[in-house]
Formats: sequence, structure tokens, C-alpha cells
Amino acid sequence: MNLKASKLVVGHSPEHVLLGPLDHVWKAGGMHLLLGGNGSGKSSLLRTLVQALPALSGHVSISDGDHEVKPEFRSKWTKSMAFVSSRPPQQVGLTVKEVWALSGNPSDVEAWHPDLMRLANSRLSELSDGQAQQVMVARAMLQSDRWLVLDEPTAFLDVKAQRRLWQMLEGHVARGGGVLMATHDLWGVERWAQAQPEATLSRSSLAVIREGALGELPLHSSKEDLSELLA
Amino acid sequence: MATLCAGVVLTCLTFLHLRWGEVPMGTAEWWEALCRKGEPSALHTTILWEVRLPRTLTAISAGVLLGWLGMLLQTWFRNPLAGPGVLGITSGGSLGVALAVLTGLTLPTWIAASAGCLTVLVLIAVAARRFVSPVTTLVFGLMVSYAVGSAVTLLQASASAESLQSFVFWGMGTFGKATMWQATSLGALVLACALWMLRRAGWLDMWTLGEDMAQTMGVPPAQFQGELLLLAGVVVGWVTSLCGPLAFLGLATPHVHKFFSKARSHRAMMGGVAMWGAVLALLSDGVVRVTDAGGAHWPLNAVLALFGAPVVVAVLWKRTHDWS
Repeated sequence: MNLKASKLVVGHSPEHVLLGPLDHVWKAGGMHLLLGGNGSGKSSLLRTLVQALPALSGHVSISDGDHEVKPEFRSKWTKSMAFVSSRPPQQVGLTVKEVWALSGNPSDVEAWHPDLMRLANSRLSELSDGQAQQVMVARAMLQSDRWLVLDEPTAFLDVKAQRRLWQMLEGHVARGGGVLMATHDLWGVERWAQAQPEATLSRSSLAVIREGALGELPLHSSKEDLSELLA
Repeated sequence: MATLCAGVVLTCLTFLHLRWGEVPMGTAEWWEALCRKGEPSALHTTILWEVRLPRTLTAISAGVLLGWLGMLLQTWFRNPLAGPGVLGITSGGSLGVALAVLTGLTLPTWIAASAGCLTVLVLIAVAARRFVSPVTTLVFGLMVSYAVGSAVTLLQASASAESLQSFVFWGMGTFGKATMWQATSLGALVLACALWMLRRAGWLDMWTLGEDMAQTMGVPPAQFQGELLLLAGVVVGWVTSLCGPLAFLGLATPHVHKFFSKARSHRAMMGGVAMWGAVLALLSDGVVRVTDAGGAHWPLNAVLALFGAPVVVAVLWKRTHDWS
């Protein structure tokens, strides 16, 4: 099911509009990458899409023509839309298993990322940021088999943890889910685009937020081109 | 395991509290009076059923409630230092009671205390939405607490000696003033609180992951915080009106429990926090009763802080950075 924004206006107050009105469809089964400098409104757009920030006007929905899931139906909506913030929650004493159990059946993680199961009985607060972030992505995947929205999830991670995270997201897309991710990881974007089959690329997108609007970019942009563009 | 030990200690303390008192009773007489069978003396029955039982039940219930409330507030504000006393909620109750007692308003104490608590809670909840950092919220709570405290002082300065005395005594805190039905009502509140926490255990756990995260996981923030607010206001209001503004118990109990136990999900913590809250309350009241019998009359609040502060310091000493 596609993620759809209709006449969506994003901002913290009507006097301070960051983005919009935005009409956009993100296709299911694709990876959608969002670039943009600090303060461009990336985070606000994502938080508005996941309903953590109220939209100034307009709507968000998940639909495939026949069915439509709206945020008002809270329990249906949360099963179709999960969020991962840029930094894993700090000082959480719950175990990894307990965190997962809040969103689904912890043993499902085995199929996506067997290594993570070894952490199941550790507390979240005992993990490194990299481990904790992978745990949080797995949690989001337990919550929603449709959309994952991630706000710079790799910002605090080392290279190895970044790669594991990309792999997890690729797996989610391969299973037919959609991923919308804000990122500064140009190297990861380039590497990802080169490794994908044409079918996945045809459903995916790369966009940049500039001056309050969403501009599409070619998916095969090199990281040099992208950094030039963002500079 | 630790919770089991706490349970054993709690049982022993409860027994001691019921068994021991200034009026000595033989074991057989005591048992007869407690079970109200055979031919117990009227004096013994009265002492057990109108003094010791309500007092013990009040101490246990208040300990459990304040311990839980400390846990809930620490989760809500994601701050290990939160507690009804620190956030100024208890002083709100004091102000309510001060207004009622010192200005001669004919308002039941519990309504005055609850209204005061709720007012401060609403203030803090509104402020917490504005402040990004929970530390700021806590500082705000402290400021409210100071301001409210001085308002109470002003009221005291202009009050009559008689009402002043009754207010000061109330402020020292005691488990010994509640009647049996009031103690039972506290017990009922424990039950209501437990049911709410069982129902909302998932939401509470989600809330520890952060407000954004909780919201996207399905917690309706307005409803959740509204329910918490109401619960906290009623619980602190009721406990404060019956036992006085009790310092410390709410803040300290969750830390004592966390020191002994590893579990951090709310469902798993409920039992342990309740046990420790009741144990701490009964221990403190034990000291109060012993000094009462010796003629020294130590106020409950002084005992709570005197014994509670070192306990919390000892707990914190061992956990230098991990607040979870």
C-alpha cells in the first residue's frame, strides 16, 4: 500500500511553515530516500507523516486504491506505520525482548537478523548506539509490515552498524514493505542504488527538500554529485 | 527473590505492628480480639480494630500508593528524581489544606488537598509540554514547590494559634489519624491503581522509549497523560489529606526496588515497588510508635527523611550513571 500525502503543510505554527502544500505518493515495495540540509524540514516532514507532529493542514494516508488506512484508526494505523528516530532511546532499562514484545512477537526477528537474537536478554541501556538502533529498527519491523519511516537512523553509527542497518531495510523492502528514510549517508545511498535490481529501483525514489518543496533526483546519482548538490 | 524477601519482611512487620503496642495483650487475648471470637475484652477489640488495624492498613496502603506514584511520575517525566514531593504536588496539597484549615473554610480536608494537588499537577503537565528537557520541568516543579511553600508560610503567619497548631501537626505526617473506613478507602484506591497500571502497563513501557516513539506505537498522548494526571491528583490528594504531606516515600521506593531487582517492565515492577513502599512505611511508622511509647514523639516526616535519605544515597552510590 502506498503512502500518500495530500496538500500536506508541515511546520510548527502557521507563521512558520517549513514545507508544503505537498502532494506526493511514495510507492510500496520501494526505498525512498530523503536528503536535505539541517533545518530543511526533513525531520518535521517525517514526524508529521507518522503523526508525532500535527499537520498544519492536509492529510496523510496509506492506500492501494481499494483500501485506505487513515491515522484516525489508531490501531490499524500503527500496524501499517512505524517510526525510528535518529538516536535510539537512552537509559531504557527494558530488555531487548521486552521492547520487541511491545510491538509484536520477538521470535519473528530471528528470520530478519539472527545475530540480534543474541541481544534479546540485554537491557537496551547496556547496548552500544549501533546495536540499540538495529534493535529499534527490528522493533519497527515487528510493529509494521508496511511502512517504516526513519529519521537519519545511521547518524550516530559506525560503518559496520550502518551496513547492517541498510541490510535490514533492504530486507523489509524485498518483502514488499516501504521505507522512507532521511539520511546524510551519501556513500550508503550510492552503494545501495548500485546493488538494487531494476524492479526495486522503479518503485524507489531519491528526493531533496529545498526551499519548502520536494525535488526528485536521479537514483543513480553519484555521491560526489549529491554532495555538490547539497553543499 | 528480593521481592519474596520483601514479602516476608512485610508480613513480619505487619504482624509486629498488630501485635505490639502500648497496651500489652496476651497471645490468646490478642488472637481472640483480632478474630472477634470467644469473649474478647472490649478494650482489646477497640485497640485492635480502631487503632492498630487502621493504622497498619493506612501505612501499608499509603506506602504502596506513594511508591507506585513515584514510579509512574518517574516514567512520565522520564526522570529518576521525579516524585510527588519533588514536583511540588504534595505542597499543592499542603496549600489546599492550609487554605481550608487556616482561613476557616468549611471544606473537607481531602477535597482541599486533592484540589491543591490537581492544580499543581495541571500546571506541571502544561509546563512539561513547553519544556523540551525533563530537567527544566523538574526545576519548574521545584519553583512551584517553593512558591506554594511560601504561600503556606504567609497563611500561617496570619492564622490563629489554634488552627496553626492543627495545621503544623498535620504537616508532620502520621498514619495514626485515619479511621477504619478511611484506611479501607486507601485500600480500595490501591486496588483501583493496580487495575489501571495493569491495563496501561504496555503504554507505560512504551512511554519510557520517548514521547514520539510512544505516540507512533499507538499511545494516545492526551488520553494517557490525562489519566495519569487524574490518578496522581486523586492518589496524592487522598493520601496527603489523611496522612499529611509525606516526604520521600514516593521518590525513594522505586530506587530501593531497582537496587534489589533487575526487572524494569512496569508489570514486573508493580509488585516489588508495592512491597518496598509498604515495608518502608511500616518501618518508619514502627520508629514513630516506639518513640511515641518512649515519650519522644518523633514526627513521621522526620523519620522518613532521616532513614530514607541515607537509603537513597546508598542506592545511588552503587549506580553512578545508569539511571534506567
